[in-house]
Amino acid sequence: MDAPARVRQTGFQATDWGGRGVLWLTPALAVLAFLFIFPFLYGFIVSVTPATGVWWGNYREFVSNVELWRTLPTTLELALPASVVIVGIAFPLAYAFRGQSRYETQLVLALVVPIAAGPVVVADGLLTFLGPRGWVSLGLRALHLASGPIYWTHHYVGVVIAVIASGFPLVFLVLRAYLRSIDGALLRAAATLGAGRWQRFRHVSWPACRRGLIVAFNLSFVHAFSTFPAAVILGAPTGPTRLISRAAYEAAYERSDYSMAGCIATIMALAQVLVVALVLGVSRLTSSAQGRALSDSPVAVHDPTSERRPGLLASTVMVVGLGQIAFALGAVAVNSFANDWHGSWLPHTWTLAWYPTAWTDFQLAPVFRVTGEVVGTVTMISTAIGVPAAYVLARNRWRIKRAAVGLALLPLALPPMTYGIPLATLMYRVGLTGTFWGVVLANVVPAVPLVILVLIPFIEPIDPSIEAAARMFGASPGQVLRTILAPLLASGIAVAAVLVAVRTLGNFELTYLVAGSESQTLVVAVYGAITATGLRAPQSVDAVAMIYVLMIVTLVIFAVRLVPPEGFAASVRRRPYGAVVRETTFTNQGLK
Amino acid sequence: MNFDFEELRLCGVTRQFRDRFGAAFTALANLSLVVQRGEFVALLGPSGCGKSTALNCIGGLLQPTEGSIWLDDTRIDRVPPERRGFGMVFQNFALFPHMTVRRNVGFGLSMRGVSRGEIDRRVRAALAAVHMEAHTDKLPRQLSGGQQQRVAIARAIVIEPPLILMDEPLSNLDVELRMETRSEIRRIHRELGRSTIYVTHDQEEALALADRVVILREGRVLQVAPPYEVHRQPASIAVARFMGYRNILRFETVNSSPAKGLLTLHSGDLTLTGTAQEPTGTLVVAAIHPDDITVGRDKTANDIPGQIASVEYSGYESSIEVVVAGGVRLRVRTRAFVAPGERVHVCIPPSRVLVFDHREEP
Repeated sequence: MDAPARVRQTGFQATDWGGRGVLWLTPALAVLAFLFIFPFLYGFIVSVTPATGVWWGNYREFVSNVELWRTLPTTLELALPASVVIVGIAFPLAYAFRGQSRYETQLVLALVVPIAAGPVVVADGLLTFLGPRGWVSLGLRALHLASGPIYWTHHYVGVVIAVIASGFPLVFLVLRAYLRSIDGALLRAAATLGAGRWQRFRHVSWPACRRGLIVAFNLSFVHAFSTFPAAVILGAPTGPTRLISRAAYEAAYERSDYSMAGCIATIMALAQVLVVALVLGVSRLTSSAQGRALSDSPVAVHDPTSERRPGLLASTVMVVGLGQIAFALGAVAVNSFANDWHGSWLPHTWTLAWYPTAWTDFQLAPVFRVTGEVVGTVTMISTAIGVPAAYVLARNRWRIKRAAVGLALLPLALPPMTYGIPLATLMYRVGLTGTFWGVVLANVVPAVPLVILVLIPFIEPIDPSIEAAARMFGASPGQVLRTILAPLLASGIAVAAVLVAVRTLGNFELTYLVAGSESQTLVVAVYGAITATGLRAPQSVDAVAMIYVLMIVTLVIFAVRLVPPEGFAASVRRRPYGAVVRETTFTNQGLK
Repeated sequence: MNFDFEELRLCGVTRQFRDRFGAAFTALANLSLVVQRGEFVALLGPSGCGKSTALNCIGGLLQPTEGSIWLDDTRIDRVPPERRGFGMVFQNFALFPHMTVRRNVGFGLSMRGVSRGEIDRRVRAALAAVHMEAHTDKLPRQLSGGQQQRVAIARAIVIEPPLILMDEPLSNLDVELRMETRSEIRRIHRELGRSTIYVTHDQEEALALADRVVILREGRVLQVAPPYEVHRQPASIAVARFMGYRNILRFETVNSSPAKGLLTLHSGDLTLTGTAQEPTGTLVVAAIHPDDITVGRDKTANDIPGQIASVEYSGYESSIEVVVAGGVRLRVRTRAFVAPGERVHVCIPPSRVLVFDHREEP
């Protein structure tokens, strides 16, 4: 009797009308095709059609011009060690924290806020925190570890620290999701068969999360590689930390050489693909079939009996690590209330005056209006496009489903800098640069996949036979949508909408690349304020940053409240990509 | 939307699926069947045999690839499910998780635009019919499996459909509830007299409930007959297997006397007399139900000496294995107390040794 097995394997649809099929996918596919894939091609095409000279002229220029060529090794020298350090710290910590922590919500919040706030404010905070008169400098001198002020900012060290600080939370969450998805029964079975703690790690946990490690490393590498704001704010963008993303930006925006910008963007993409392919290749050569089977196997519900509390050492490292980010943001907060703060632990006098000053100095009223409009419009459009697409993807079992979901994941996993420059070039060509709709469209690109990935785990548990029952009892497809699907999906849609709002609010790169002065959102205004220091008082700049951080924190708390983290984990448990989905939902520009 | 009918006709209904590699797979092949008004028909077969596909085609959740479905003179196979007006009870209940019992049961009526007072009255009556009046305002997750299934049944009968479709409604219930709900389904069918098509893989359920049983395997109909007939006179060795004929033995026919339909069967040292079910060649397969073999001696039947190999006691009855001539193991159900190793005689009436052509047996 092979018939039943066959049916299960191939996963026939139970009913004919379960998915509206391609029609409902079309808008989402159109967004991906026109705003994500096509710009890549366009960027390549403009790169090989320079105004003068042979078609490979730009590439020859890139290789022969030291100013340009040097950015590639500089960027690799930053991205590779930073990624190794991030994964090296995050993996043992994720292993120690794989159990349900008593402070789960706080932990998730502490990790998600810096991810959501993005690299701009983290870098701004580190600027004060790591600076020659910052707390780190003061602390090292107090402990007699340094004789004078330290100069880590506007330096390679500062950029590396910023990249690590903003990259760690995402990698930690991804690795923890992989570790948590290991069936507790397997670990207990191993224990009853005499495997000690180390052997259980070696034979069960390690093979199962190897792939997570690869994913985490690649994710962290591509983001470190396209670091942009952190290198500008904390580094020396014209000197030793001139990164390739900066070179691409200069070509496009300072010299209006879009052909060269397309060339650099293509080289960026190629370099990332090359390293990722190399890592994947090496991992495939050394991985065992058994390991792949383990990480492919459907994952059991998280099992509390196999948990243990993190040890003292791990807790300390975690607190200190997250403390860095907290202190960095804390420095921004303190400075925004300081009358004058120079080389002491805390300012001598405090004031609230910087907030009204900042409001008028930076003309925040129109910025807020634009931000609200952009966030609202992006949320509405991406929900309207993403919900039907998520429904079709969740309900159908096509051959291409995994590929389709993978493609949808790409704009989320790829750093915006990589596809932002070609996209901005394309928008310039069609006259969308600097307009409201240009900003909205650019932000829709990562938002639609986000909605899809958040919603699939909400739709999959809804038994299709519930919809079948509604149809049987007289509901038309429209009535099924109204009376059955809408109420059951309301919470999922709300979560997706809030996460899109967070992401759009914090999406620096894409908005920065396409926005004009009339269409910039708050995070771009914050970046503008930071990089234009000298014109305004730094306290006033930090007040703007604080307003932004508060908005992000409010939205993130709202999002975490809406779906308790553990509930989220449970709802995505069945899919192999679920582990990544849960974490990517919270993350936006990820690691800078 | 009111399709009261005298007969439901399925003419050559076929449904193919494409698997994810694009290969066609026939889940249901050429099903033809007429269901009379008020009849209770069970579609019986192992999982993957196409019975749920057939039910979904009738309900409108699947469209047949070929063939047609008729209610008297109206062709309905392209009519969407919401316009067929049938009731359906699902295997996993499929209650709307966000609605109370009352709203679940009233869903079909409100979709039909029935007035609020009328809905209220009919929902109450339907819930009373399944003894669930006390749980009107609960949500499905607050109910036990048996209660959920009763709500699902109430939801199907409240719209007074001409036809009720039931898709393995008992398979998610535990043994005791299954028996209870089975009687409930039987009682409701007797009281309301609605035509019912009932899908199950449990032959006992099908035999107990149905007026007629349709046996399916790998998308094809093997037999359509009243319960007694499919059980006593299975049309093929496959049906016999499915009906619990656990002794399937290969023989050569030595001598046949066509007048009586009796055959003398030979296999090594074992010789039996059996009854041909169909014209056979010299190579045949015999099916014997464990309940048709008795322990003891009987001159009128095949009388075979043997030794008991194993005994599984299951209360009142035991399932035993008897090794007879030629090393053949016969599976027997008996109320006699016997012990392994004991030498016994077993006997089988020739009329209960059902002989089929060997080609059927793969």
